[in-house]
Amino acid sequence: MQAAGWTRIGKAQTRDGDDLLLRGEGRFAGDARAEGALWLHVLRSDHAAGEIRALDVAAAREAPGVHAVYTGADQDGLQPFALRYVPAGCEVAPTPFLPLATDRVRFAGEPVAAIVAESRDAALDAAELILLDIADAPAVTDARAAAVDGAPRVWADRPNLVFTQELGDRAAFEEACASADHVLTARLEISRVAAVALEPRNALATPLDGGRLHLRTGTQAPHRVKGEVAHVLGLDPGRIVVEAEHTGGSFGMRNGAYPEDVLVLMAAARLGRPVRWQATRSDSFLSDTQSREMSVDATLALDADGRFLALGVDGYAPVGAQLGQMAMHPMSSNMPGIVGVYRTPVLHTVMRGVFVNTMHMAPYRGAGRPEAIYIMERMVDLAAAALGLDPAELRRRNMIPAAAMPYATPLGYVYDSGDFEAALDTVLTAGDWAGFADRRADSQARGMLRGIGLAAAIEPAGGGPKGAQLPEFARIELDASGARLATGSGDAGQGHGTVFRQVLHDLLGWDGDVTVVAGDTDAVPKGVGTFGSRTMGAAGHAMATAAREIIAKATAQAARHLDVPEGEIAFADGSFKARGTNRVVTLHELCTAQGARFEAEAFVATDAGTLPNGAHLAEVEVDPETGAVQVLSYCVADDVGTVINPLLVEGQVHGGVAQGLGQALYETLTYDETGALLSGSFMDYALPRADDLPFIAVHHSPTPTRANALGAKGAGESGTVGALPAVMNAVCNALASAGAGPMDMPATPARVWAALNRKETP
Amino acid sequence: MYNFDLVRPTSIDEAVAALGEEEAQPLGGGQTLIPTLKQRLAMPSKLVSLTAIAEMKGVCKTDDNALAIGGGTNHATVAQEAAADFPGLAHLAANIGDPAVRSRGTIGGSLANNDPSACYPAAALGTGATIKTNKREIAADDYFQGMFATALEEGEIITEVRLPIPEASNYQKFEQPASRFALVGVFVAKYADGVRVAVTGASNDGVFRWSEAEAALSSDFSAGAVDGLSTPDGSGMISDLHGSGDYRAHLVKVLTKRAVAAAS
Repeated sequence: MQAAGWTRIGKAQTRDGDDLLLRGEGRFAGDARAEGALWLHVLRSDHAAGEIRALDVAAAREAPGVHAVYTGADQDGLQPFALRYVPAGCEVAPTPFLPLATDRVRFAGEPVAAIVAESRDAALDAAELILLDIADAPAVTDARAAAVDGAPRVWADRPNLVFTQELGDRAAFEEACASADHVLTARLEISRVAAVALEPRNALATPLDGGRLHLRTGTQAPHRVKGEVAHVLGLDPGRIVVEAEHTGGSFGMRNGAYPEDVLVLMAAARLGRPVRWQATRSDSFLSDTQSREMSVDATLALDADGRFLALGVDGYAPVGAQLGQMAMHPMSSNMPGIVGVYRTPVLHTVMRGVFVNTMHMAPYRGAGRPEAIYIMERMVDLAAAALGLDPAELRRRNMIPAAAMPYATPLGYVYDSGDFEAALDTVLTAGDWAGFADRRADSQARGMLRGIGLAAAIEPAGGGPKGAQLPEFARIELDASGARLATGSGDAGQGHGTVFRQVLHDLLGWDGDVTVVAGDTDAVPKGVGTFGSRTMGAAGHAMATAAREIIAKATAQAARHLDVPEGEIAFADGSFKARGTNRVVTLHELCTAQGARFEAEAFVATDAGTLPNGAHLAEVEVDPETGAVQVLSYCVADDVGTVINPLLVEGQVHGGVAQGLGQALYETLTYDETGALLSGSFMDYALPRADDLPFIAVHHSPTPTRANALGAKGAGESGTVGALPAVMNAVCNALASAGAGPMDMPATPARVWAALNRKETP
Repeated sequence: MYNFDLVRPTSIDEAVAALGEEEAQPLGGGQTLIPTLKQRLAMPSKLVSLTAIAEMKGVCKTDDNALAIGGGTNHATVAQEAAADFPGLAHLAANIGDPAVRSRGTIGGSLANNDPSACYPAAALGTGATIKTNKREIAADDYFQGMFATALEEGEIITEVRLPIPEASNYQKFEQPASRFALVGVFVAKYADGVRVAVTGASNDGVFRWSEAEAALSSDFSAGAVDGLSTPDGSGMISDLHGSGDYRAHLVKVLTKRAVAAAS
């Protein structure tokens, strides 16, 4: 959908406003000042399960500087958090999810009391005076273990099994397997990880005149937070203002309200003072939403030529102890996506969500798509090995050809565009697939194992390809002072302002200044948020819709100015021209010289999401003596549709690959048998660092979509989606060269060494 | 962090006097103690900073071919000033933590804390260093007494560490992926009268000497000599998220071999 006359769209531009962040002048919620603000400290359970036998806060309430201490008994008038998502075809009742535990605790880190005091030290001192006695009960943190009869129940009055979602045709799947030449099965374990935002969560609530409440927080979805805190507080949403300026990483983890948001608002309303909460990194590990964990048995049936006949997945995933707003989303929302970029006529999936004694889940960069593509792409590599086929050739043989678009996959996704084979060829060439044998021989001569891993990825962006999307809001105002764009899709480091300016320039031919307003629910009346790689598809579409209305209004004005009928006016590159004449007036002149003012707004949804896709190729070297893995090279061919800003797309891919590679090689949230989080700090939770990453080469392979006015697909998550399988395929390929493996993530040195020596992995 | 009083004496005598007071605790570079305080895991009423004592800082070569390092000398300084005379030690110091850690953390603080995953204990034990305090001199073989345990008495300060300069030495650290402390670190030092091999990160008892390797390397200082040894017993080694005792034991051998090969 590349439009003629676009001059800014497609240009690499550095992000506006980076200088502020680089100078440490970012305006994060923790930087916001509020006169007389009190400090709220959350006392958390250090037990994963058990009845609260005693909770005595009397001494804390009397401690110096303390204004209030709230417990589960002080939540009169609060409503439980509501579910925002239930797996298709399932009926699930919510849990009574309130900010503070009432009768029992259900995970280590669960908020038990909130202390509001003059200072952080006063609040911490008071917290030490609280007598909390929890009758320790058995806990369970593993989904398979929790689903077994007789496992400790997270909720006494309901089973741990929250939902079982079955999709596809079981009979057809079994039939396909029965008649297949090859049937491969594998148990695949995907680890649980934390988003680890650079800026830990925070919230500052301030009472406003007229009984309104202002919440300053870092979030990717201020309008959602507004609606959710209003719901829990039992207030009309009109009484809440949510404002986010800079947000230091969101990734799905900041896509809604948290208990602490409600607590600061409740305290501010009751005490009539601003109240602040700030997470420590330890708080973040315990109380930020988590993601990705699942354990699946996958089955891939192939014919004698290696053509895929059917794919089956049967799995378990933890949802956490509470049904947080999106707790059931990551493991169920994208099951149809497991077929990836391949013609696979039959798909059958069973996924179970299970209560466990931990913080609850929520989407994390990719939200079910990295998991889906990981399963498919691991199975493809296992099939290639079993059949003695080249993994690239097996992929090519099964890929949906570009000529087959639009293509309907078994469970109803419709792929509208994409050239998967071209992307594959790009990385095979760029990564010198053909020369791998020589490079492996070089490594062997040095005593090292070398591995290469492919992944072909596709991911529904914006909310899935099935049906209408969530809307997004854009309002454009033009006058002599400049242009203003207000939108509900705010920035958490991606560079929204930069690409919005590029788009607005090309939509309106507007060369002047553009002020972007986002993140403030009063300044932007409506909005949904930034998630699911949806901004260019959703906010971009709303901008294009509003821009059309602006042009229509301005055409009428130009016609009057040029004294010709409206039908005689043609608009191009910011200018209105009377046909057959040399009389021209620009949009800018109408605003400046003529004093015109135009505004238009749109709160619209596209009919379908988009399907960014691409191919990834990773090459690794494994030191068999220590198990250490080094990623030597990485390249991506990425189809994000219309590329608005190649530099920022590359940045998104780099960050996404880093987060996927991080999960594959380092990161994992680990609990002990009592439900205590073992990897609760950076001393034990390993993040990738700059020196762990290779140069990541990004090749743009755009096939624009018709799903939205810009032709743009999503760019925010594709790096992560492909990186999990590409890196693990490379590691397993290296292990296989020594007759070892395969192994599950994370491929830490100790686990790789154990796999090489067939010892039990730690 | 709880409130405490901070004093910054400028001489060893003043520091010793200040540490004589009840609940006073020495503060070196603070790379362990400050995070502990921030977590409210310690509650000293008085901290005696050792960072303003000039006589406890600096690196010099002694007449008997040892490197004398003031207890308050930071890692960055050691990395720089030991480079010419004792490159194995300089390399170790240059790879502790990150630049911020290296410009705050001190050799005395590291040895007094005796973290089982710290680097300096391997160098001190691997060279047969002498730990000088305000009271006495302690041989490294007597100084390390288990995880976080040393021969230091209450209020005793490490004023200087003397490390005999070897003919050849090397330190191999295999980093724990998250903390980047030593999952296992091996310091090998070759002297005219024999070879010393000290291992950090691996044992539940803290830094230790691998005597079998020392014997083999004393007669044949080659990586091949290590090959012939059986892997140390993993049953007494640390087993955690990042590796089993067997894995650590295996790494001891691998890293010893690599240290010998790299020793210069």
